[in-house]
Amino acid sequence: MVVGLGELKYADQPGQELTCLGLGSCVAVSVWDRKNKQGAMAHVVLPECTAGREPTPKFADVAVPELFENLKKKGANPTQLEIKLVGGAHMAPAAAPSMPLMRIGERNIEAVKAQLKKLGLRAIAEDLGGNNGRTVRLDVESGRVTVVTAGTEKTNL
Amino acid sequence: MLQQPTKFTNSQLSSWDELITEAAKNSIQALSDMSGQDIKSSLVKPYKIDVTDIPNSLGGADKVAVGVLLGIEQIPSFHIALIHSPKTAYQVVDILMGYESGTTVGLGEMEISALGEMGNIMGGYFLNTIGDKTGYELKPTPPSVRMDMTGAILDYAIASLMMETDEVTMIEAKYGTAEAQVDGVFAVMPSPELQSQIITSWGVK
Repeated sequence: MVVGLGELKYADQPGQELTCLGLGSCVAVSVWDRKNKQGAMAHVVLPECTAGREPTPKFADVAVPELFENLKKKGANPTQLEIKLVGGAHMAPAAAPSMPLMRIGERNIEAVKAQLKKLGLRAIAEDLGGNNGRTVRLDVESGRVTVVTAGTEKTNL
Repeated sequence: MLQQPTKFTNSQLSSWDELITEAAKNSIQALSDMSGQDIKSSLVKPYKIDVTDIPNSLGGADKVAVGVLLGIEQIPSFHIALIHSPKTAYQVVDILMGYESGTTVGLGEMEISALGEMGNIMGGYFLNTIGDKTGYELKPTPPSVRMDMTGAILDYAIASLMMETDEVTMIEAKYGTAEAQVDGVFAVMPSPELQSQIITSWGVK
């Protein structure tokens, strides 16, 4: 199942995989519930939902609380979840130093971590920053998370 | 949906499509001057698309592509991107440099420079056409060239657009010399607010 820009998805069937393709400055929040063999993934595009904007999961401050709230409803204990973060690369053109989203990758990472902290949670593994695109996959049966960057072999996270 | 969507009349939308089609054709024609070769467009077709579908429309977010990206000075919500597959980008370099087809097989400093110059020329002519027709002046930032996953190349532009809009206009373009045609996508991504300002400045009702 592909988790598109600004989406949250859940999976609990053997053989199912949650995937964020071609992440640049976006951050994927991958969560695995070992006990119930279920997984969830958020594809965060922007750090915060400012006043006047519709609160959708494209924002870190909407996606992260919603992700864990929904997992709780599905029987997960938030303190026993395996959380992994991928993405947040620096992709802004070098010629755009004054643009407001210049540090968007970094700001997405900070926003996701701040939301996890608010919930008393933290990631057990991360592949963040840099300046390359990434594709991340979560196998909901095994909990295995793999990351691929352009032109490289996949690695386990 | 985001803010109240900007309402355009059919006449304004049709004029906008004509404007960006002409601007794209002019920018492709300008490549002839740059390369000294007779480069012509065989297809320039504008289409509307949801911002979140942009990577899929270009073959998939994880498909490796070569992107030439330009921003607009002082305006964070208007981006121009030229997207080609790596193979096509090498073909473009061959055309621009007057090399025999198949000569370029990777992106070194010179090839990146050639593609960047192509972005400069195309972006400049594109925006000049808009300026000439509407009186709305826009200056491109220097180009940025990168080979990466399509989604990653466009993430920055998509993130800034997703702050303001759900839908943008893209232009499918085919161009080249009589001997070698290439397919590319000329993504023109202004926010509806800016699009509205340009149309208003133009005086189309």
